This record gives sequence, structure tokens and C-alpha cells, in this order.
Amino acid sequence: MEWLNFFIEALAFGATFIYGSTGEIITEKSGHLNLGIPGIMCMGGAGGCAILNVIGKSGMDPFLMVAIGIIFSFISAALMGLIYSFLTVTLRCNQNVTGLALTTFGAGLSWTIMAKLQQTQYLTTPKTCFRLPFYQNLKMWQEMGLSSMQKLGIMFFLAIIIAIVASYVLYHTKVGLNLRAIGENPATADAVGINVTKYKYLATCIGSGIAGLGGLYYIVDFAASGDAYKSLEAFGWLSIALVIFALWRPHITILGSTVFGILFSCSSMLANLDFVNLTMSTTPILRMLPYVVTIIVLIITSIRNKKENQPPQSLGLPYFREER
Amino acid sequence: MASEMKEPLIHITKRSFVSTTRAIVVRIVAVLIALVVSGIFAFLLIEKLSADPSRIFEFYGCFIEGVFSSSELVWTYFKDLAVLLCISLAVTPAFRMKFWNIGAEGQTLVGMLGAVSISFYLGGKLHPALLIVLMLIAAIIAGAVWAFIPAVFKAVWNTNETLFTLMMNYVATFLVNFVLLLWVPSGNALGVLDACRLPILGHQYLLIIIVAVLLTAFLCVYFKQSKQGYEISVVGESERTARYVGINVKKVVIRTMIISGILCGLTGFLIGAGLDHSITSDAIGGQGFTAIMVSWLAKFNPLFMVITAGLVIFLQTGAGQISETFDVQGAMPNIIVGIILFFIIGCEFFLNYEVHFRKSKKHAKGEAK
Amino acid sequence: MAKQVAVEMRNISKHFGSTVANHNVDLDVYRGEILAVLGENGCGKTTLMNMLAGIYYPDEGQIFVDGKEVTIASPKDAFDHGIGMIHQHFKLVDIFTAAENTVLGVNEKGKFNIKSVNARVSEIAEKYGFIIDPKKKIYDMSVSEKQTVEIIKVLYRGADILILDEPTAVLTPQETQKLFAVLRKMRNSGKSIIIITHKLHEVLSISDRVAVMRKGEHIATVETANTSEGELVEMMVGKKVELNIERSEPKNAEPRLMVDNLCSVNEEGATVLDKVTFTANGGEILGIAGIAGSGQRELLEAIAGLQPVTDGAIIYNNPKTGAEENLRNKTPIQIRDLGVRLSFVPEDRLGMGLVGSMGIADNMMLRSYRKGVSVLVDRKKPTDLAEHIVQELEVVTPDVTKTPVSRLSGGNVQKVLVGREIAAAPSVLMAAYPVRGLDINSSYMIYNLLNKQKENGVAVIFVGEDLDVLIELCDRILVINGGKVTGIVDGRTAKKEEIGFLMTKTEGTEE
Repeated sequence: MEWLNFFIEALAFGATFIYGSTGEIITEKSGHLNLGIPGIMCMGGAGGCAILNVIGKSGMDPFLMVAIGIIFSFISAALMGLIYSFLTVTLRCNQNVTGLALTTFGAGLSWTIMAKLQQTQYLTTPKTCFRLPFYQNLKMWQEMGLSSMQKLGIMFFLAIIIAIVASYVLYHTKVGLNLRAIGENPATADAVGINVTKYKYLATCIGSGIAGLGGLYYIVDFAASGDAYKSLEAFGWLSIALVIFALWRPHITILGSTVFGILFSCSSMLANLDFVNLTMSTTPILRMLPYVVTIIVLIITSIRNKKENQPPQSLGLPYFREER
Repeated sequence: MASEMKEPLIHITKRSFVSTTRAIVVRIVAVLIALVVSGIFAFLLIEKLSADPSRIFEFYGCFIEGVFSSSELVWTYFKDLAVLLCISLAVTPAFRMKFWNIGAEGQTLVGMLGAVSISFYLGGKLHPALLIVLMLIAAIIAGAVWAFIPAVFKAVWNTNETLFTLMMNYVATFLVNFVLLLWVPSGNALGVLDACRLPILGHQYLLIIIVAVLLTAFLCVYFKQSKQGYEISVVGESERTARYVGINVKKVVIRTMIISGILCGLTGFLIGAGLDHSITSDAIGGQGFTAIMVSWLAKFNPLFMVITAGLVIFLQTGAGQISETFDVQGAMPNIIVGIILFFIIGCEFFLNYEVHFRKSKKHAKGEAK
Repeated sequence: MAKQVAVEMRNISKHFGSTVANHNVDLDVYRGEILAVLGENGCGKTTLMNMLAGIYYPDEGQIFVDGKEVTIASPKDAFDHGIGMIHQHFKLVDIFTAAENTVLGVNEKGKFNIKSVNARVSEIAEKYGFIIDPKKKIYDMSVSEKQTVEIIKVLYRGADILILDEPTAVLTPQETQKLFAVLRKMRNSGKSIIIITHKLHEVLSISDRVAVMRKGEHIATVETANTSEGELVEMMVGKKVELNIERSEPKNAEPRLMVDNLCSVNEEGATVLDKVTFTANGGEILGIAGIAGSGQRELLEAIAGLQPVTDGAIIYNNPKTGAEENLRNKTPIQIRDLGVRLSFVPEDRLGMGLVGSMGIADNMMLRSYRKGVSVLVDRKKPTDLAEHIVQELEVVTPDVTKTPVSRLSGGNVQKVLVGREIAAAPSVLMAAYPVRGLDINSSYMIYNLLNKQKENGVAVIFVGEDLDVLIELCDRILVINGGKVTGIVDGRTAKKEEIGFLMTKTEGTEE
């Protein structure tokens, strides 16, 4: 049972990365390496918390409260994506530099906002709402020894749905075909009449919005603590790593995020697991593993050089139609 | 006439030439607008400012106050500048080769770890001068190794270096955490190591400032006048050209990355032995990432980097002062630096491209006829 | 002429920075005709068509489709007006299949279903006699298959005005004939076809009318039936071309470079050189003829030490010592260290021969910067050399140190490159397509330079695409096809048809 609980917990933890990397995959498929994702996730969290701070204790219908939280979180993060796309798409600025600046800005702004909010307002009541539906039958799960089931709330399932839908859209629809074409070869996409600018803007903003939900999920649902926002930036970078691990396929992020979740969270649970005898000093090693595994995946895919598993061809390059 | 309405309003073309005056004016305007926008953000975020808008002058005054109000602050300013400049210079050789090394944070950190480890294990057992030499060597080797690994994979299998070096940063962070737990199993901070100390030249910050100046001069010559610098430019421009004239591209890629790594390691050594005398996993504090922006904004020119790094540190310090004066919690410096960066990054567009407005053009044509 | 006008371009002008690509161009295209747009490389014909296809937007002028003024600001606008373009450099997504590329950007109602797209692609292919597997990935395709995909793409969209940019450059004669048959079929069904080309015989065989362009301007449009090759050439180049390239008799020709059974494979493992054997003599120009991509580039790069060789030998005979060296699988540096004076003017001037962002002087250094033990570079000698070349070859440039060579015109770029390679006093000089994109005067200057090298006893290897030039310039012509030497003929006695036959000899390339 302990193992199962641990697994469920890791699964729940991983949803943070599912949001982050699904968002990043959508952006990267349009040819933009958005290193601003950590900042965007921070701002998604801060935006959602800011609105929950206002409505948290209003006794609003739980469903409505969750919906409003999610919408605001999405919008705040999408606005960050808008800054990024204006700079990199319209003004054709260097993507790496813009992304890093966005992370600096987003992390700073979110910390400043979060410092102003009342924890009780955005955490206490909303948490029970976000943890629907399993939270209602908490007693039953506890009796079954699966108390961690309560961790699987609305936003956990939303993450899974988003990842699967994103995979379907990217690989089985017209829109996905167009978007992937842009990421591979924007001149080609342009030549067949696809509005490259519009797609790039939409992909970046929607991708950012989705990534932002990861921030909200982590703060108010999974961690449900007032300090949670401080770890978000690191999880943003981990999400970018996960994109490589998942070979740019959103549905694989579900698997990858679970692996990452297990590696990252098992250290914090070591103390509670009496059957594992590991010293504290292994914690950093376990936490290092996701990055090491990602590096190994990156190396293997580059050695195998299978075209379908490579980063989008035009990733990182600005597109200017009249380039000569 | 209806068709004219459909003509694109804005038409963009690439500029073939930018005058120096224009380059300077556009950037200054960008910084000024950014300062105004920062003021607006501050107004919205800082309660004491929104309550009393007249304190806005005090807000801008903080930038000056934060840097110049005491000689010790000025020293601190130049120390911070020197650290950022050293890392920015360190990432530049790779950038000039179009190798997007964003692993300076990690390379500097492992360099620092190398230096601190030597002093931790050998401190007090060796002659201090010998110890320092060993620390320097360890730092340089560590930094070089951290850069060498992604470089080899890039050279041999064309593994994406941006993503690789990014991951290496976190491996470095957790490596430091791991080592710290070995040293201090309780999980407390390591504390100052007495053996981990460089001799003080006049002022405790003077050494790193001198190193930064020397490094700037060295890289100026290296890039512009040396054969290796010339090779870097050729490889950066076109690998095929490099191969055509017999440059061993793999060798140059690896060699240049090792140089980047060595310089990062050196900076890590200076931070570890010259400033912190200890190590934590966030000792570099994101300056490894900021350095990438500094280097890029300076167009990879070491001399311009002095200016861009100076500007960034000026803003960080000033914003820190603002947080103090106005009692702001959170990370005000990041917000202001972020805004300034957006504007400076964005203004590049107006230097590289020309924007034509259809309407005015038609009008001009009508007049000509 | 009661023909219906499909497209009218009026007073079109387009500039790129300070370069004028098109100036006040007028052009009419009728329904149900094949219009050839003829002009030398760099005369602005592709730019003009790109404006029709929405890739570029004209600085001035108007475009009418079916008599109505239209704005073509994007390729989508072009498709909306029934205009589709097949570009010279294929615009295909490598990791997509033929069908995915075809359907890309098409706005169809209803659910997206790749199976029905596959079926429709096959249907179109069948209708016009193409053979294509809709599920094949582009990166697995040959050049002609890729072109087929491009054409199907345009047809799939129901375009009735098709623009083809140099469609035959990459095709074998058989493939060209097939393509022309398809084009005629389309014309007869009422489509307008614009074919951009600089090959005269193609113009005469396929087109109904010819629009001739020169230096960005439209010179005239004539009925193909009422014109002659001579008249077209005259309009194209502005004056009667004297294709009389000087050719001296080789003196003291002696074997300099002996290539024996050379084999090579590319990164994908496909054979690119198959038992190539020939000898290049000092004091002689050896031409290499072949359809683009037949192994010319690989052959020169293999000799220069840039392309790995799997079998065979490259023997160099040192004119000073008489010693023989095998250059096989040696790096360019090792080759130089052996005392082999090998100069190479590659096809891709700015991407391989020169560094675009550097000035002329720094580009001179590319070959020589290693000299000496100093860690610093010596800029004095390269600057002197740059000034010498600028003067000698009449390179038009503001200065030799600051202005990046990428800002020079094509002809000047080539002069800088050839100048540098000749300055190294080579004993073997290889030049790949050295006159591509150059105006007549610059081309002749290059021919003269090559001839002078020949007279100095250099073994010159010249890869060309224009058979007339090859026949008039070269002493011997080696013909290569599919990486195999199909024949070596004497430049003085060879007939064009003979070379053309050798270029296409071998078992069917594409069926």
C-alpha cells in the first residue's frame, strides 16, 4: 500500500510537469524555444492565486471558483506568452535571450505578487474545491489505505486530458499539421498560405497558458503551501527537460512526468518510508537524476539521428519572409 | 480604392546599414522608456508608492543612492560588475562560434566547488600559496570538464548544445547539494572556510576587479588579433567554409568550449576563494543566465560588455535599494531588470529592420508626381 | 488575339536595400498559354514571379487578375486568386509524407482525414501521369520525386495559373520531356503556365510566348513561333553574344592529377562516386559536364580532402620534384603540407568559399592565416593582396577591410574568391560553376583567368552547366552521370548532342 500511495503521490506531483512541458512542446512545435517557461509558470500560479485571494472565502460555488482560478491563471500566463511572442515573432529577437529575460521578469513579478497575498485566502478553501472529486470520500480512501488518492484532484485530470488532446491535435489534425510544418520549415508553411505569425502567436500564448496552469496546480493543489511558489522556477526548468525526454510528444510527458515525479519526490518521502534505508545525502543525487536521464535521452536521440525524434528544424531561428 | 485598403499597412525590410548615432539613440530611448514602464509597475506593486505618488522621484533616486551613497557601495557595485563581467566574458568565446552555451551557471558553480573542495580537504595541511594554486587548478579543470562534456557531444553527434548545457546547470546544482551534505550531514550551511581565502590586495574586492579588467583586455586581443579568435569567427559564420580551408571544426568547437569552461572555472574560483570563502548551491545566483543576456546585448564584443554588465548591475543594485526604501517584499530587482531587458532586446528590431508605413509612402509618391 | 488575359502586372518595382531587383515591369499572361520568362541569372525574373506568388510584396505597381486589381500580400492571397508557384528550391517539410505536404495549408471543410488525402493525391498523379507514393517521406525522395510533390501540391489546390521556377534544372532530359508533356496537357485544359528559365531550347520547344527580362527590366514579349534563338539571345544580353572564348593549344601537357577508381558514399550511404578514373594534365582545361547533382561536387570535394573516399586513389604529380603523392583521405591541411598546390573555387561562394560577414582582407587570410609561429594573425599581407585583387580584377567595393563581402554583388564576390585561389599560385585549380549568376562581362573575365592559368601550366578542372561554354573553353570534357564517368570527349571536336547523350546514358535514372 505504501508503494501505491507513493506512486499516486508521484503521479500527482508529475502533473505540474505535464502542464509545463505540454505548454512548452506546443510552443517549440512552432519553432520557438521558450526559455521563459519557468517565469511563465510562476506567473500562472501568481495570477490564479491573486484571483483566489479575492474570491477564496466568498463561499462561491466550488466549481465556479475552480473555473475562475483556472481561467485567470491561464490568462496571466498567456499574457507572458504574448510578451514573448511579440518580442520573438514580431520583433524577431533572439529567443534564448528573450526567454531568459522573461523568466527573470516572471519569477520576480510572481514573488512580489505572492508576497502580498493572504495564504488562508487562496489556499484553505480553494484546496478542497480543487481536490474534488476524491476528497469528498476521503474517509473511504483512508480506510482502504489509499489516503493519497485525495491528491488526485480536478487539475490532475485536466493535465492528463490536456496532454492527450494536445497530442491528438498535434499529430492527427490539420491545425497540428500546420503547426508542425511551421516549426520544421516556416518558409514552406508560409508559401502554402499558412499564417505563420498567427500560428506562432497562438501556439506561444496557448502553450504559455497551459504551462501557467502547472504553476497554479502546484501552489494551490499539490503543495498547498504558502512557500510553494518559491520552487516553481526550478520545476519550470525541469519541464523544459521533460520536453526532450518526451521526444516532443505531449502524451509521453504523462509517463515522463511520473518518472520525474518519483525521482524528485521520493527523497522527501524517504523519511516516511521505513522500508528504504537511504541516507539524506542521496536526496540531491535522486533529484539530479531527471536531468541526467534527460541528457542521456538527448544524447541517444542525437546519436540515433531519427528525423522524427529531433527538435523541430527551425527551433530557435527567427522567420523573416523577405530574407535574402 | 477598395483594394488599396487591403494593402498591408506596415511593411518591414531588413536594414543593410546602421549608423552609430542611430544605434546609440535607439538604445538610450529604449532604456528611458523601460525606466518609465518600471515606474508604472512600481506604482502598481509598491503600496507606499501608490499611496503617495509624489515619492516617484525618490523611487528613481534609489538607483543613484543604491550605488553611490557610500564608497563601500561603490566597491560592491564594481565587485558585482566584475563577477557578472567575468562570466559574460567566459560565455562569449562559445557564442561567437554560434555555440549556444547556456551552461555558465553550472560551469562557474563546479569551478567554485573545485576550489572550495581543495580548501576543505587540504586547508591547513599545505602551504597557503600552494593551496591557492591547487584551488585555481581544480576550479579550472572542473569548469573545463563541465564545458567539455556537451562540446564533445555537439562536435561528434551534433547534440543540441542549448538543451544539454541547460541540463548541466542543474546537475551541477545538485552535485553541490550532495557534496554539502557529505561535508555537513546536518544539512546546515557550510560556513566560512578559513583556508579558502585569497590574499587581499588593498581592498577585498580589488582582485576580482583587476581580473575582470585583464580578462576584458585579453579577450579583445584574443578575438580580434589571434589565430584562434579568427578560427572562431570562421566557424561561427560557416562550418563549411571552415572545413573548406582545413579548419578542424570539431577541434575548434571543443577547444573553444574548454576556454569558456576555464574562464567560468576561474570566475568560480574568484567567487569561492575571493568573496564567499564557502559554497552554497545558489552561490552564482542566476548571474550565469544574466551573463548570456549581457554578452548578447553587447554583440559579443568584450568592450561593450563592460557597459551592458554595468547597466544590469546598476539596475539590480538600484532595485535592491528600492525594495529597502519602500519596504517591498519579493523580488523587485528581477522585475526591473526584466523590463529593461525586454526593451533593450526589443529595440534591436529597430536597428536591424526598417518599418515602412504604406500610407505615408503613397502620399510621398503622390507629391512627387 | 481574342485570348483572355489572366494576369496583368503593371509598373512593378522592387528593391532590396540599394539593389534594384525589378524596375517598372509590365507583364501579361493569357489563359491557356505557356509563357516563358527568359533572362540571365540575376535578371529579376524569380523576384518578379515571387511577387505574383505573394512571397515578396512589390514596392510599387499594380497586379490585376481577370481584370480586377488585387493585392497579393501573402502566398495565401495568391492561392485565393488561383496562382501557385513551384519554387526552384523545394519548399517541402522533410519529415512529412508527400500527402501531408500536399494538403498543408489547404482549407477544406470537414474532418481532416489523411487517408482521403492519400487517395486524392494518387488520383491527381494518375491523371497527369506522375508516379508517386503519397505515404513516402520527403527525406526518402529523389529530387524529381520532390518536384512531383511540388506540382501536385499546386494542382491539389486547383490553381489555374502555375509558375515554375527553373523546373528542368534538376531533371534528366527524359524527365524534362515528361514534365513538358504534363504542362502541355494543363495548357490545353485552359490553365496558364509561366515557366522561368534561361535555357533557350526549352523556351522554343515548350512556350507559346516569351517574355524577356534583362537587369530587372522587361525588354519585350514575343510570340515563340515568330522568333529565333538569335533574337532572344540578343534581347537577353543586350548585344549579340560572341561565344568565341579564346582557346590556346595546350603546351607541354603532362599528367598532374591522376584519379583512379575513386569511390565515395554520402552520409546516407548512397554511392555518389562510382569508380571515377581520369587524368588532369597541366596546361590544359578539363571540363566536367553533367546534370546537376551527378557527383561533380563530391568529386571536387574528394580531391580537396573534404569528402571521404571509400576506394581508389588520387595521385598528384609534383611538377617541381616529380614525386607522386596519394591524396586519398588526407585533410586539406595534410594535402597542403605535402607541398601540393591545390586551389578550389567551390560552388557555394559565400557558404563555403568565403566568410560573408568579413571584409575582403580577412577573407584573403582564410588560406594563409596559419603561416608563421605567432599566435597572432598578420593582417598586413592579406590587406595588400586584397588591394591587389580589387585593382587587378576591377572588384567594385567601398573598401577592402570593413565592407563585408556579403554586401558585394555576385560577380564581385566571385572575383574575390577566384582572385584569392589564383593568388596561391596553384598547380591544380578546380572551379565549380564559377560563372553561375554572373553577367556576361564577369563571366568572360573568369574564362580569361582560367585560360591564363592554363597557359601557365596549371591543370584546370572546370565544372560547368552551359554546354556551349564547355565546348568552347575546355580541351577535354569529362561527362559524369550518377557518379560514373560516362565518357571523356575532346572539346574541339565534340558535339553538344554527343555530350547530352553521355549525360543521360546509364540505366534509367527515374521511371
